[in-house]
Amino acid sequence: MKCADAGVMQMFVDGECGDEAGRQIIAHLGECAECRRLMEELSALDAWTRQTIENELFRHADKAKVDTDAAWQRFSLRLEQSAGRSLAQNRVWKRSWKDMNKKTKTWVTGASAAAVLAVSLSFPQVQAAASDFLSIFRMDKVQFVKLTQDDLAQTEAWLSRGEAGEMDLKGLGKLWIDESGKGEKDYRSYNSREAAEKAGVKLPTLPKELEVQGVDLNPSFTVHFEINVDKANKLLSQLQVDQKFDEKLSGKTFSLTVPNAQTIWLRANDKDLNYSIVDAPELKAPEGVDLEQLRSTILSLPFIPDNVKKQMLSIEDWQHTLPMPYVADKDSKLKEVKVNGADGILITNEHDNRVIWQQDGRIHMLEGYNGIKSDELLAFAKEM
Amino acid sequence: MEVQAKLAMDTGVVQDNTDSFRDLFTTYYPFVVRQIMRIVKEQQTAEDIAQDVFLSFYHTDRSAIEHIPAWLSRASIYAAYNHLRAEKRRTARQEKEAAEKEWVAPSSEDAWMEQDAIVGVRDVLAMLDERERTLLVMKYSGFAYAELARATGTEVSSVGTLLIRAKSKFRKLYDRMRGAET
Repeated sequence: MKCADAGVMQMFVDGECGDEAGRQIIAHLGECAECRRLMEELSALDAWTRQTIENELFRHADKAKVDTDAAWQRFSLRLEQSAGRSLAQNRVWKRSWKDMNKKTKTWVTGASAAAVLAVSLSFPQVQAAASDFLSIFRMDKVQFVKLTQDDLAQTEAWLSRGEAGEMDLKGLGKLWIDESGKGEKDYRSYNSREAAEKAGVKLPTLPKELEVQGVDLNPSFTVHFEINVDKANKLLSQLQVDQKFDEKLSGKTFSLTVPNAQTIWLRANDKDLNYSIVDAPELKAPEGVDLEQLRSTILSLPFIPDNVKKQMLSIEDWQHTLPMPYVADKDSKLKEVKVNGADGILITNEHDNRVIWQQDGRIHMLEGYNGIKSDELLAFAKEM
Repeated sequence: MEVQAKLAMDTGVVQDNTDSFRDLFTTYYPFVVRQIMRIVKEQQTAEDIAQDVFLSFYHTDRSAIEHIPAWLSRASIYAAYNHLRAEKRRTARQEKEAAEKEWVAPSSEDAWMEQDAIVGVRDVLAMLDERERTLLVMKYSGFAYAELARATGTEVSSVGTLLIRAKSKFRKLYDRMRGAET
């Protein structure tokens, strides 16, 4: 046998060359001094490199204690925060209705969570004349309230985790969701426009270029908010806040119902879009409550971030305004835009663009993935 | 160490079939952190980088990944060196700013000391190209040629030659650095 090349010798050193080739090499080494020398060199180099790398790089790292559970907590929180973005990146993932619907839900529940806080925040004088047991408003305007990641993280993590359940607001009250709203109770999903229409779903007119890939219907759900007046008042006095909650509020519930939402998956020139429409959410407040007082009291609560308070306070048409939270982070850029005369915002980041606007009493959101340009997206939005 | 990596690989086969990302995370997180810590010493930083690695793992079509530990290892090494590079640029910029502010150039002796302090195996590895570095770190983490080839986009048959080249270069640079020190 002639001399093997150095690469093959290295394979032999690493036990990667197979039995037959190995036997040949061993036989050859017996008769070739040149190759024996090369083999020694290679083994020495290998031993030295291994030792250097293990001693100086690996040893300290291998001793490290790693808390995997804590890391998972942190990771899952982060996933939830970037849910919108994560879906943009993987078509297969995105197509799974389970996930889509969670995403849409995150968006909507995120909105409603803030709205529930805003229940409190954004309505002063109620139409007390309302003879109903409850005062009812329709929130048909959208006001964008800027939250930071931190503001939302806690609420959002909870909201996207549980379908129904409760969150304790630091003993001051609780927030819970039920899905027993009126109308459709189940998630439904169709693979084409025809299938959806056959099942009696009314779809909006869409620009010709957009091909319908699927339609999802999310049932309505309700978020409730209740305050523990006793505890809250104690806290307020501890904090030396003069405001007090009205005793009448105890055990009463504010609710926000988010009606059925429709999500349409679209495709145009190899680009994916998704268009969600949801009717104006409805807000119910207990009757006979001095809401002006409630609002100022709640705004004095310590756990509501300052930046949120300021923005809530600046909402003028409180009765019909849904504070729409969007998360401010360093990766997203935000621009105010007009869509067919209605106010909207355009949020752009590395992975996707979305336009959110309000029209005919409904909230519309159009989101574009894989490199769709923001003006392209806006052009589509204007044709919706 | 080899044993550890092999263990991770074996469980990998089982975990590949499960749907749950949490299982994947739990199985490989310590492995990823250690892999990164080999390059970025500080554990907290390594854990931050590990989070990023898992985020991109999450976003990747995992059915297309043939060998999960190898994929994670490569991604970890890559992310760790990216971090080091960014860190270096930042320090360099700060030093430059500081120097400009004070109008005092560091004496040649100070500069020498500084250079001295940063010389280490990590820096030598940093001087190799990405492929060589990945080969070395993964090789001594216990990965087989097939995975090395896949991670570096080469043929199994060229891994031996590439390894020799990477090791020789590593040794030469290392000796030169140590030589300069004394």
